[in-house]
Amino acid sequence: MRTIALLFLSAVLIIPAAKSADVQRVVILKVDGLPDHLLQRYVNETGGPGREGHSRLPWIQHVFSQNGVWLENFYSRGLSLSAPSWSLLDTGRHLQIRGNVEYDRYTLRVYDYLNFLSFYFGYPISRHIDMPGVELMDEAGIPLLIDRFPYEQRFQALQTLQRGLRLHSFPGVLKRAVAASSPKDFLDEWQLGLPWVGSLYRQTEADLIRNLKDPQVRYLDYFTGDYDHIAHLTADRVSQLHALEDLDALVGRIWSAIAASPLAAQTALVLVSDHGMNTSETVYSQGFNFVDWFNSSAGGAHHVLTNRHPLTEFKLKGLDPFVSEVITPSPDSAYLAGQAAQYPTVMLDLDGNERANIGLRNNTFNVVQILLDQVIQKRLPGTVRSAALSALFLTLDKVRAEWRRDLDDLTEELTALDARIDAQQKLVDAQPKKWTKSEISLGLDKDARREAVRLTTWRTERRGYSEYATIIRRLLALTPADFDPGKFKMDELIPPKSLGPLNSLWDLQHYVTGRASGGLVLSEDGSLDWDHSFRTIDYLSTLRSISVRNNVQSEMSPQPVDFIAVRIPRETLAASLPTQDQPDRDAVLLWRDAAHQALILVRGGELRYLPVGVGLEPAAWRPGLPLELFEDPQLQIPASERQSWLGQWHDERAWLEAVHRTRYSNGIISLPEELLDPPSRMDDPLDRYRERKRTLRRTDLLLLANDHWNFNVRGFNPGGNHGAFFRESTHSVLLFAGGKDSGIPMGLRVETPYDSLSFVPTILSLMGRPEADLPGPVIRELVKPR
Amino acid sequence: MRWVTLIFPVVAMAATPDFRPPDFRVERQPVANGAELLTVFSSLPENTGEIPLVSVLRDSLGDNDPDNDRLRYIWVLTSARPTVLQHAAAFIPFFYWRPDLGKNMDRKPAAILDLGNTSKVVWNALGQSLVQAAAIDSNGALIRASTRRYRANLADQQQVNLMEGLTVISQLEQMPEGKALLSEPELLEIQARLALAGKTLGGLVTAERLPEAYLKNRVQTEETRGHNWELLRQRAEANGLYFEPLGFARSRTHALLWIAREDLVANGAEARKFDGRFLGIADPFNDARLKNWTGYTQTRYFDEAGRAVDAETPGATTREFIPLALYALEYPKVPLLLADFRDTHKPKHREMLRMAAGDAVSGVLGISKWGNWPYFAGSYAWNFVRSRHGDPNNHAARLKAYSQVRRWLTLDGSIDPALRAELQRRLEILGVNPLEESVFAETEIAERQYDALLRYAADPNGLPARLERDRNAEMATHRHSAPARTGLRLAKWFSFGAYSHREMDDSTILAELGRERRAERQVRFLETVAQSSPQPEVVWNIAEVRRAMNDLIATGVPARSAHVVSRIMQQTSDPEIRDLCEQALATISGAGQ
Repeated sequence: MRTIALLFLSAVLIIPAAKSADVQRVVILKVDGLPDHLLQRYVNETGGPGREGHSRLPWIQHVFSQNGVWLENFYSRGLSLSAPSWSLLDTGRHLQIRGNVEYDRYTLRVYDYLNFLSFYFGYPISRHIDMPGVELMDEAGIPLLIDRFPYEQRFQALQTLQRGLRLHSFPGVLKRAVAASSPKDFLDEWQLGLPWVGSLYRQTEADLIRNLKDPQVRYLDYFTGDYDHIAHLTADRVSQLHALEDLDALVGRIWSAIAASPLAAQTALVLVSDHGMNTSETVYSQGFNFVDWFNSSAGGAHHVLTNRHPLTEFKLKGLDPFVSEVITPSPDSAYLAGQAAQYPTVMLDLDGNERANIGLRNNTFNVVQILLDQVIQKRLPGTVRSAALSALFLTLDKVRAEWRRDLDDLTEELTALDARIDAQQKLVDAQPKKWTKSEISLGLDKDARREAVRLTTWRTERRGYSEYATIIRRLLALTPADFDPGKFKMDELIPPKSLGPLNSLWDLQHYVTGRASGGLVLSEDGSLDWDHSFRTIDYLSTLRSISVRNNVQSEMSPQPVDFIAVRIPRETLAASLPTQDQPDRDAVLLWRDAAHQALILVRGGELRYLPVGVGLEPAAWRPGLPLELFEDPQLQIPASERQSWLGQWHDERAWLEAVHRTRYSNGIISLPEELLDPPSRMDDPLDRYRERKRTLRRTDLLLLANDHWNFNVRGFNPGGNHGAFFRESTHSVLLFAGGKDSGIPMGLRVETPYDSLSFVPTILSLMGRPEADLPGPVIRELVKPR
Repeated sequence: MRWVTLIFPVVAMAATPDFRPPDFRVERQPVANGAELLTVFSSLPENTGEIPLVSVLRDSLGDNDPDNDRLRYIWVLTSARPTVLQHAAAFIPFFYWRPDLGKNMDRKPAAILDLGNTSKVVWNALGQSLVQAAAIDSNGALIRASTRRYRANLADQQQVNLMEGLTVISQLEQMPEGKALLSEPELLEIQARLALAGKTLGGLVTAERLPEAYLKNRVQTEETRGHNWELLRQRAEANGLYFEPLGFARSRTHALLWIAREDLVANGAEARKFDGRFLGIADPFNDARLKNWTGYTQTRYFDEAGRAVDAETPGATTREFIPLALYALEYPKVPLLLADFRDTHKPKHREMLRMAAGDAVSGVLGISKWGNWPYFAGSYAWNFVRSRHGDPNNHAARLKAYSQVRRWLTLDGSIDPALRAELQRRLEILGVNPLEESVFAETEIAERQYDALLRYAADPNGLPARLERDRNAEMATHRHSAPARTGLRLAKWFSFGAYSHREMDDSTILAELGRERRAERQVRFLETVAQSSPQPEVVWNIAEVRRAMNDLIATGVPARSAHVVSRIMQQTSDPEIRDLCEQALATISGAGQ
């Protein structure tokens, strides 16, 4: 009976939608970093002499503004950063990717989501067939929008979440770069610079237009990073507008090609950007170098791990396209001098630039390593040695139970993984070695290669986690009774190239960076004097208090860091929050200074912003709190009701409508998306293993930059940046237009705010393939009830 | 000049809210025979008068129709033709000084560029290189070294003049009164041509690609400025120094680094770590010269947060700043050190060393990159590695940066006069070319060169006669093929000038040239229309397209326009334009029969 009811429900919900699907084909123009406010501004400007009465971006105006749908308030969700933002747009699911690069805390395995060059150059020889972001989504069982279409029905351009690679396009790219119709043309090209990158885009466009002629192809996309690239480098209006005019011309060519294609009437053209861009013609974005800062004594003298070389352009090593791991040693390292390669102690993801994800090595690792170093290698006076040993085991005892439990779980998960590896090996062995043309045209050869990649990845992971577990078990197995310093080497007790478990808030505020200058000191009772034996840093206040002397632009704050976001375990809040304010998962602490802190709490589908004091106890609303909601004139809540409204739980829709025009736009929704996971209970070890990997990709601190500051270290980005929650950075673009039978409205402007989660469900609904379990709402103005 | 309409509306809006325009004005002087001389003047700091900087000749054919105007010559008035002694000094190998060897201030100035014939410079340069390699280099080290040095000095002087011209013209696009006399398309053309003229084959780039050349140059310049601004600011921050960008609002072309005297004292025995990478200066914290500094200083005031404030601000603290170095921000990749306040001759010595190395290898040893592949490979690899590490080894870019900063310093009234004088004195020392003028003599040179130019323009045998010859040559390009024109030129040479081909009489040539120029302009406009969009009516004011088509038909449709007319006919859905296209094509086929 239940089955019949479900079938009936399906018939009601799905079949009519499918029958009435007006859009049969979708063409998506993916534009990296395109801000809505600039697009609107230029569309509304007139084109100048010879173009009177026409927009400066005439095709975008013609196709989308006059004949399509313009979403005036479309926002990136999570960080306004390419890899996470495209992953949301491409999947319609909550964040799996939280930075442009992530590292596994236990093994420092790198997830380098934007390493295009490594993927392209390595594709013919390496085992990888998809970009790292796609591999991660596959592992998590999350399909991309493109996966809804059979291989032969899709055309995908080069992009962040790239599935497979069309090698046959590359000769065309080369030809376009060097070919000229006449010697004169060649001379012009030569003098003006051969258009290598441009030829890649032109070849992709030609391939897309060729595929449009094939009625079998139902999904096509095109990716361009031109605007984002230019806007990072210069805020010059002419330079940026030129990139937008190129985009406009592209829209014209593709729209015309669609009009001449077999499915013109049922084709939808969509233009979407992953995030906006915080750029101003009058301000240079100023950089602050956190690699140098963490290297310095003031920052803790860490050996710093990044995915690219700082100042890449000034290094020969910077030419290496395969680099994903760079360790910058600290010359001032207190206890790890000369050990940078084994023991990097801080990991930075600085890409995107208006924010930094910072992973610090587990504080207990630091304490234990310092004490072991003293006990194993230094000749300490007997009393000090004895106190140090006691302190070492006291430290281990504090984490022993938790770490043991973690290792036991890991062991169980790895056992399950072993079984999975065996099954996968059989699957790979059973794959054919040669493929027919028809099989290749269906992508079966790539599917097979994908399985082999998966097998290799699992084996590598298994090895890495086993090594970590072995070392931690050895460490935990130490006892004062059988402790023999000569028996061990440091790397047998402290895992090299590992950050270990996440740090607690207390750890981040009392982070040990080395021995105190006077060495280990005893307290009166003969035990180790913790306060005077170690050099510690409160990273929250230290990072926030950084101030520069060379702040030559009056518009900018001398402090590069605006505020810091840290995840707070749910259990920590049990004592400080009243019952009615208890969340159902961890919370986000926003820290500007001791007097300006707040928690973002999540419960079910509701959110609450709670100002707190030093002990995380509720505090009064006041100006200057992170996100500055209370004082923001753009908050869509009357001033008289603010205190009351802000003091309550609201669902996401209510929050989005209230805050989306504020200075920090949808930060209150994006921060939990970035930092929190919904509560879950997993019994299957392999599910837990997946969840573990997700957790291990987390960092300790999220730093948000002040306006027009950036943390780029690869080079310089004076033009503009993104990554934070400033409205300029999150306000992205979503435009639709369709053929006459597509059902897409003409000349419609949608003011209701939406975010990236609405993209996939809306596309699928337009195509008559709605999926009820997608978390984001469909854009109701666009998809009318059928 | 509607063919650049895709670009110039953008340029028109380029001014920014904090824009502080240079104090320029443009003056128009009519020239006999239907032309006009447009001269850019700038006021001098401290209200000490004004200086003519650049003149441009516009051939208007004596009418008011801007569609048939053509820009011809550009003169940079701040430099005069070198004297014989200057030429002689320029021949001396390893002579990298600029002695006062007189000035030809009253002689007719030499144009730095002929916009009507940009390829001539390229062919001349290639011809000279060929003669150098084939006939001169084999005559011994002395002749080889001196001729190569002389040609290098000439080329450098030409490059400096081009950059000075570009520096001035690039500011006009942000001045409404400047644009009233030189239209935006004209400004764009001049800038693109000046930038291209600095490249070996840049003069051969076709007019259709000038907007692209302009944009590429602009994007690159803006990126470089911002990049170096940030690099220098961050290096200053990392080293405990103070960074101060200079230049007009949109032209942060140079910057100063300062050190606070208080930081020197505060360091005391425990000196601060100093990393001079990218800065090119010695450690200032350990420098006795700074501790006993008696040179130029400035007192500045700061609030608690470290922001610069006025002296009257309550609670402001004072700091005494000592200048350390001046950098150019438009040098590719790294800020270029132009003046070191502690070691005045250091930048010059570096420059001399680089030049001496080049002269020794190519001049004395006679090793050429193009004739010696191992040397080519080795030199390329060395330069690549050095440049990768931030070594400023691009000679042309160094010249550009140097000439640009020199120009701005002369005109920037916002700098303290004493500091400006200090900087100019140091830049003056940097001069390594005997053909170059002293910056302190430029005002007088410019005034007298401008007078000389006006005399030349007023002389019926001077500029007006040259204009006539140019028009004749221009007409010949429309009426004769390239081989035929070569034949006519040879006939003139072999007859020692007795035979000089004239296309037609003066009144006819004006009418014919006007027609040809208008037709050419409309064809370019229509080519832009056709290339810019698959449907012209979406992008363009269709009345303008119709007008261009009508004008083309009226002036006589050239056969070369058949392709663009056909393309527009295919693209447009406007019936009137389609009719006009048909008419135009019929005219062409009628003329063909």
